[in-house]
Amino acid sequence: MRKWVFIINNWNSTSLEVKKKYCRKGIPQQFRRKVWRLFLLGTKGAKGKAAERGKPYSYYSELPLEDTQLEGVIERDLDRTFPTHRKFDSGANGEGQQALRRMLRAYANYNRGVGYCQGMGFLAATLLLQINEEERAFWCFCSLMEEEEYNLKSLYEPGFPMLQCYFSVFEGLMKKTNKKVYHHVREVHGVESSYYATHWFLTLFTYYLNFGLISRIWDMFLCEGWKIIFRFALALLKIDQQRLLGAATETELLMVLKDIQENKEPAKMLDVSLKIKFTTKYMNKLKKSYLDSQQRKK
Amino acid sequence: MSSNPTPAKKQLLKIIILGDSGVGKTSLMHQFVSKKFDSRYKATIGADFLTKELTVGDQVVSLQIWDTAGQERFQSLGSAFYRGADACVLVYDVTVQESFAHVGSWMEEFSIQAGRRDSVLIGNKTDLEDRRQVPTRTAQMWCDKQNAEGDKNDKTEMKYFETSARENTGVEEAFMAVAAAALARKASQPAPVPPPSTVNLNQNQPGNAGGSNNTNSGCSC
Repeated sequence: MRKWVFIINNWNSTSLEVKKKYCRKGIPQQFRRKVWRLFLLGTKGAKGKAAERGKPYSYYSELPLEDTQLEGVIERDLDRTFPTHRKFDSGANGEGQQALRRMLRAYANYNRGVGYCQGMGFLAATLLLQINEEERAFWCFCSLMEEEEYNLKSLYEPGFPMLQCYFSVFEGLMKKTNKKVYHHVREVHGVESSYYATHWFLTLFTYYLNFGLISRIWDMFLCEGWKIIFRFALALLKIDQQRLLGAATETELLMVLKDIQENKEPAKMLDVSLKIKFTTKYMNKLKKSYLDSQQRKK
Repeated sequence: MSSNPTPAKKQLLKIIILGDSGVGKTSLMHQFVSKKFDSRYKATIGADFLTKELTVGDQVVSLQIWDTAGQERFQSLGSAFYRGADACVLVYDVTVQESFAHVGSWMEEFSIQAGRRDSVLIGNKTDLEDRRQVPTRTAQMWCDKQNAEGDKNDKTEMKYFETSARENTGVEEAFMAVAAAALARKASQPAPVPPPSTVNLNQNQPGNAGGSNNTNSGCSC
């Protein structure tokens, strides 16, 4: 506890290694809001971010949408984003859905090239729940989408360029770290990761997993970046390896993959995911080789 | 008729559900497969799937139903899901004119990716009759037009169904019709030719079910 107070008070001078070590242990809930904000907004906070990005939140949230089709898409998704959560279940005029509507519209205005895409609501809602103050939550969301180390916007852009790249990286890592499963899933049954991992990557696991586990994953993701997401994706396959290998047909395999994220023990998930070994260098190599091959196609 | 000495092997059919976001694709799939309705489904991200075993005539069929995200942007991820699909269920919401207007482009996208296949058109949410924007006749005429324009040698016929996933009306009929149509086509073309790419369906060839699969349970509204 005292360590966290020290880290928070000395954020800029604390090394990434120290942050990483403590984030892996889990940020205590009473500090989580503050630490997530520090990762996403830096020490200057929401005001600093707003200044950096040019215009205040109210400007972006109140501006009419340029692409009017998005209006309907956002509206239809509001009560389909964590529909059973207390904060969002009281209808389109409930406080939670109103805040979510404004955040999504604000981002669509902030980055018109990305606009709104289904899945983004789960990220915005997760931040709204954890940060608990709309304007700050919005700037955190904006950082998650825009900042180099997270760069979710590159996944959501039309054509999903980075999502496609991450499917390829993920399959490469699967091949390296769990050959048996790779062979069975990818080679024998031809099941591509896009069939089952799309929402893992687009919503950073928030689509299915419970909040306790999501918080632990995000603690590490905000500190270490995408490597953590790949680790957890690989851990899901690893934990259910026997069920996957036992599936005799494509249909059986798909049914195992369909609910593979359900009923996962957080302690087990954390333990398995951190034991999966691959280097950042190798991950980056896979990424580069995919991007190079795309470049050549052009 | 059913003089097959050995029982026909299980046939795998892959059906894909397409249509705008919020028209009720997920609800239709769950209603058909599990006979339940929940007004609190999450928006589908990417795709989801369920399976159901059913008997069409004396053929046991394992139906793999793919539910897809409705936002247009997801079409670029679609090719993986469309590949190897035997038929498609096009869905619009009878209370949203726009969703009907987009049906044509969903069908076109499907045909490009999967080749010309059987499909049915579903107008969903008939429980909201007082808010209806698309008359039954308009949708029926659209299907008739598709059927008239189709290849003369290709007996693909698009049937129209109206459903309420909430009240479970018409759902079974629509899915059974698409399954029967896809099965009939498969039986008449024993070697399935998916578009060039990896062949991943682990399929068993039917022990030639002969004329047994003409159980056309469709209604022509």
